[in-house]
Amino acid sequence: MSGAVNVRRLFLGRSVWVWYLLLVGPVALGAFDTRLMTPLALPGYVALTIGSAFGSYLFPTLELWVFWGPLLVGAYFVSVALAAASHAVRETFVAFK
Amino acid sequence: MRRRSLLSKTGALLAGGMAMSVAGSGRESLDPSYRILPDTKYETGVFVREGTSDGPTAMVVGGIHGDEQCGYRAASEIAGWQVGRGKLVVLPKANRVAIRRDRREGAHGDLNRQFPTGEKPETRLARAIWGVVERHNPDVVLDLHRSVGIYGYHESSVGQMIWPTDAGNASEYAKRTAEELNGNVVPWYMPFHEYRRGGELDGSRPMLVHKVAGDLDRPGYIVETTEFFLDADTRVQWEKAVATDLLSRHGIEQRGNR
Repeated sequence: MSGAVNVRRLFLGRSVWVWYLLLVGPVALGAFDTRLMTPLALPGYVALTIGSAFGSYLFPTLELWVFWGPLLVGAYFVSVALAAASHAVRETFVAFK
Repeated sequence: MRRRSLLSKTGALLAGGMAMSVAGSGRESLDPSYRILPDTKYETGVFVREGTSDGPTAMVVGGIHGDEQCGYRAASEIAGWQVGRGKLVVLPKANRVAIRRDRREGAHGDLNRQFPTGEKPETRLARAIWGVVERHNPDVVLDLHRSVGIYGYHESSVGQMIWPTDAGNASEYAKRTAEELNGNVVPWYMPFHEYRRGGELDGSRPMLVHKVAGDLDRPGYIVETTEFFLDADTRVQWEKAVATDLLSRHGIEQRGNR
């Protein structure tokens, strides 16, 4: 039961969505209105530009907005990894108390 | 410090640009100096702005492709300028049919493939546009466009490029304008959006600015701003900033600007 809860927390926990918002929010704002573009959007901006660059060579008939799809999905998995890493770091510090 | 300065400049430019954009929304009501192809579906206005003293003549063209809104919106704003010296000729909406359709192509295909060097332009509209060039004999011609993606990154895209002709100082000016924009307009955290100078246009393709190079041997530029990641108003402001800087290098400045 506890294991199931941990798996749920690993993939859907609050920290996953916090990381997801941090990764996607700034880049989405910047794309919506360039005046809202900030350095916080840099990771998403770089990922979207490089990803769409590869994508446009592999699938030249697709419009560039399509590559937001892989970014949004990819950002989720990165968020899971970041949440797990931040959890591990927190646990480590607790262990040293 | 430099970053802060850049950010404040960018903010000020964009804020000013937004104000201009709002003001520019009424520009349609400005009367053109004359119209080409009147009483036809291609009818479109030409705006001639004369300075208070003699100087060079520049021509700005927008709307060759009807779905490239930032080109004709930027040109429409420039059409409202008063210039300090010289003469500014603006044809903001070159291809009315394509603009009405919101399509790249107009009634007879891609207008920017109808200007062969050494020959008459291929269609009535292309001949009328070239007629404006011949009538005013400009020292420099700017053609404002929009691209889908960024040159070198996205397949078949030419965004964030300034393509100069192989005449006069065009190539050097294109390089300096790109540097100016990258320093003061494009945020440092949008590195892929930095403007770059393209290869020189030499008249080898049937495009308006190629013909300026091939037939007139004059400076000319194709300006391409990407729609990738840029909202519509920002595209217009960046496109206009490129045009403003290039015109300034050729001695044409908006009255009151330095």
